[in-house]
Amino acid sequence: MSAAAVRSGAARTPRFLAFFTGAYILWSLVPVAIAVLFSFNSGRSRSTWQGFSLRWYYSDPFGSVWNDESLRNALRNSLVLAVLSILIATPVGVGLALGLTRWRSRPAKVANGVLLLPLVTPELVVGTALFLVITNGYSFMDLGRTAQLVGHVTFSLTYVVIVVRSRLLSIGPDLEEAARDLGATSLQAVRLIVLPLLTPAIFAAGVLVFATSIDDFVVSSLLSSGSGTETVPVKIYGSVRGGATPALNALATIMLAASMLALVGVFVIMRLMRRRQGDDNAGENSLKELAAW
Amino acid sequence: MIHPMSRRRFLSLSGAGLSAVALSACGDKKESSGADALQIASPSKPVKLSISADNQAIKGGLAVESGPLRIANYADFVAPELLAKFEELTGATVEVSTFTDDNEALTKIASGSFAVDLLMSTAIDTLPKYVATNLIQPLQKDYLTNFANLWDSVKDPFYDQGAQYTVPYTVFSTGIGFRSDLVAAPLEGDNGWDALWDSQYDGATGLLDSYREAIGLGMLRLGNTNLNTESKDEIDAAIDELKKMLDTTNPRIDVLGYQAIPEGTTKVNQCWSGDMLLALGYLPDDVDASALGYWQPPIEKRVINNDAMSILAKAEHPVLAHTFINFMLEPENAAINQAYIGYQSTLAGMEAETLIAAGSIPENLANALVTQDDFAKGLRILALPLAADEIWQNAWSGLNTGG
Amino acid sequence: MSRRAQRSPLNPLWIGLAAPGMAWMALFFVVPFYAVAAVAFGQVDPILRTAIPEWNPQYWDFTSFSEVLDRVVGGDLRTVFLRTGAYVILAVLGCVAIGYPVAYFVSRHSGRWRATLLALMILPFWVSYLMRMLAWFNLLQPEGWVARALSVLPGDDRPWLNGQPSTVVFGLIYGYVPFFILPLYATLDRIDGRLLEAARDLGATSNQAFWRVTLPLSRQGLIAASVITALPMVGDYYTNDLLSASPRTEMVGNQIVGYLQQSSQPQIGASLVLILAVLLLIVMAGYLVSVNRAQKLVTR
Repeated sequence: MSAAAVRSGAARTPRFLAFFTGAYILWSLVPVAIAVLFSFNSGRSRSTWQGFSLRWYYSDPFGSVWNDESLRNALRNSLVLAVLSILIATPVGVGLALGLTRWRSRPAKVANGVLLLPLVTPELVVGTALFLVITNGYSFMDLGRTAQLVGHVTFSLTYVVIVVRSRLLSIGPDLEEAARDLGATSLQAVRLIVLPLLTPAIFAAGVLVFATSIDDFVVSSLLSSGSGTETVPVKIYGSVRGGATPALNALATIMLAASMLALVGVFVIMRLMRRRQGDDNAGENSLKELAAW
Repeated sequence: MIHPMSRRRFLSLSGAGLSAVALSACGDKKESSGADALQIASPSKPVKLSISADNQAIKGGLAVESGPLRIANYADFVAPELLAKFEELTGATVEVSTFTDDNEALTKIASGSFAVDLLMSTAIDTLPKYVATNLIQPLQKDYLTNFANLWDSVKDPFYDQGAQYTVPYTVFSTGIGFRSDLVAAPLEGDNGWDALWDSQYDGATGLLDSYREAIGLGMLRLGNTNLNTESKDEIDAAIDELKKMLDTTNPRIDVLGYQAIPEGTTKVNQCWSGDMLLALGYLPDDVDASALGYWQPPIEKRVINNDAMSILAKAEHPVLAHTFINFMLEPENAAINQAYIGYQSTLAGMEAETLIAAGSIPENLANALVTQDDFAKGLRILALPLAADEIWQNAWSGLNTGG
Repeated sequence: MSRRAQRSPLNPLWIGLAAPGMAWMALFFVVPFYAVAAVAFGQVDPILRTAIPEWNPQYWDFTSFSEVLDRVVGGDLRTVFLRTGAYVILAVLGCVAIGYPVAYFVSRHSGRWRATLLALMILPFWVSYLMRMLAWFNLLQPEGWVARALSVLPGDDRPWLNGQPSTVVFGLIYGYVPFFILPLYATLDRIDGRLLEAARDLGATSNQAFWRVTLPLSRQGLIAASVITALPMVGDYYTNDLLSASPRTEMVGNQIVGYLQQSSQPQIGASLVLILAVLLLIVMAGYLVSVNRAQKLVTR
């Protein structure tokens, strides 16, 4: 009776929910698809379709992403910042995750708490604070790319720690202890056992840092030193309400493509690694890891 | 003051200019002790700005540096064609750092994070601050062979007698732009601004996001032409007037009228004269240029202003900077610039008849060009003593709370 | 157990691994807040009107801060704070209304579509916030597709991008719902299916199973997701800026940015940041306390 009841009970609700979910997905993704579509508009409008063209990508002599230096710079700045952020935030974050999970003490608990704060603090608050401290206190630093990098890393650290730590917890301390029982030092255990097991999570963390940095707006603009350090989101924000052409859509589309490429690439790698580690649900688990939980 | 030119002032909200807060520890800004160090000028009290002994003009006849020329300006506020032309002429590259607001430019230059040679589009009421802190250097007229092309009235302006530090960049009036095909009746007469308070345009009006201009509009409508008042009562009265506008038509408050009007997003929009000329480039395909209209108050109630170019005291390429200023003073280049940014310069050749004949502007926008006559008679927005400035700002931010 | 105690957690390796990160957070997250206070309670350069921070608490000047506090508690800034609170609450409710059914469906009923739906649900999280706002901005312009479609409805020709609170709240919902859905999904996913089976075995209809088992079990996760969404939303200023240019929808973030940038009173901006940070801390602390209490209940 229970199987039949479950089946009949389960069959009723999902139809509305399925429709609702489908509608949600359309609602959340179709506008973006339309924005991408208009990047191929042949005219200047971002809301009236005037034909297909690649002019905003490279052929328009002054306005295309290829030819407009400010757009190109924004693209370059975004990518450089993202790569640098990965290079800094990932190792520091992995270290944090490892260290804080194993080192049980007051400072560690406080650090854990502080690490959660960026998740719930508005970027405006943190960005403002960073701006003030850099311009008034830390005289070894200037506004500009370094400052923006610092801001990006500070926000990304939390994500790295969350992803790596959850993987660490699910791996558990047993393998490490077994290694130590067999004579390895703690360092060797970490290097030879834990890190390899963590690799999918580290990849996920890296690509999360990439996405956080690429999409970051508030901190990037608060800590920029002028048009030379504008990133793509800053450029979009500044131009949306005024004087923008579909080149803006093109810029956003290029960034989107970069993110998606990174995402898909890393997902494939992660799924491969997980399968090798014996994970039966590699695909879904990789997806979950990429969403930081 | 929010400079009239800050059309990208929107960017300021992106925080690129939290500069108002920054004052990093470097040297020569904090010498002056107070507002009395600021030499505030007005048409009736012209000021000859002081030149300190350690901030003299460079000598004439020096060789032009190889560059690059670093300019600070509003985004998109000089024709790229001109920059390319200049690069070809001198062989030096041009780099533009952008700001979105006068205060931002000032702070960034003061703190050293803008290491530029040439500063463009500075409002004349910010000028005293630059001079008081020795941030800009006096000009060496030997390099400015085209100086004679300027209108006579700006060769010796009241805010900088003898044009020691500055050369004007653009000139503009403040009025109301509209689309004649979308409004019930074209704005005309002495009280065209009433349209902004007309409930039939609810949701289709715009106000300039500039506290001096917007509050000034309230004052002018009440008949008060003292736009540099320090009286809190007068300011509050103007604010009340604006609150009525907020209630009846809920205007957008930004500096993007040059796009909103041609696209029809707003039907009646407070804007600068240059905005309407710039708007010509934003007309949708199915709208003709004759649909654009610009109304300005009668001359005794009309705000007319100009901004300035100056060279920074710490410029590494001063001769190149002078060369660029001279380059911009050529009527041919000024015309190219006007065609791109919409705003006119104070040079010969900017008369309505010339531009209409050349087909650059339609007849219906002839009044969007400032004549030398008007320039002499218009109302000016001047610098304020700091305490008064704060009253204005607080009033404006109070209005913006929407409460 | 005793073996684990032998591996004393004071192993310097762990400290060494965590140290760089901790130093970083201290230097670039904790200390900056002190700078905000130093500016809020400091002076202003008389000519350049830029902030002169006061690092020494002995010389802190609270006049400007108390003026701001007065305005927040009883003056014109109160409207802005209340309005921001209202928008955030409405937006979070919207997120719950939209996000919960979707998360529930994908976690419990999606069957073989699960991985695909999961990917699609995660996707917006990866698309730049600004790009999504850009998309809606274009759609809501007078000649945009959505604006035109909506104008067909009787009596609805509002200019969507001109100071409409509904547009701003809508924008907030659209922007933040992916951040809400993901943690909620995680919670719902973790609910043991067997509990629901047990409920059905005991005769519950699927409706009852939901209201009496799933919903209560997801309560903590729901609250957590709401907090993670609501708190950052309070500092949002760009959504309002992009989708409305009117004082009618002014939020706290706009005032802060306005004061810090275009005014000659940056210390007011810094004061506002402080007040905002304290308010959020209070909410955060309240949330943590309630979580703690709930956990104690569970482990008793």
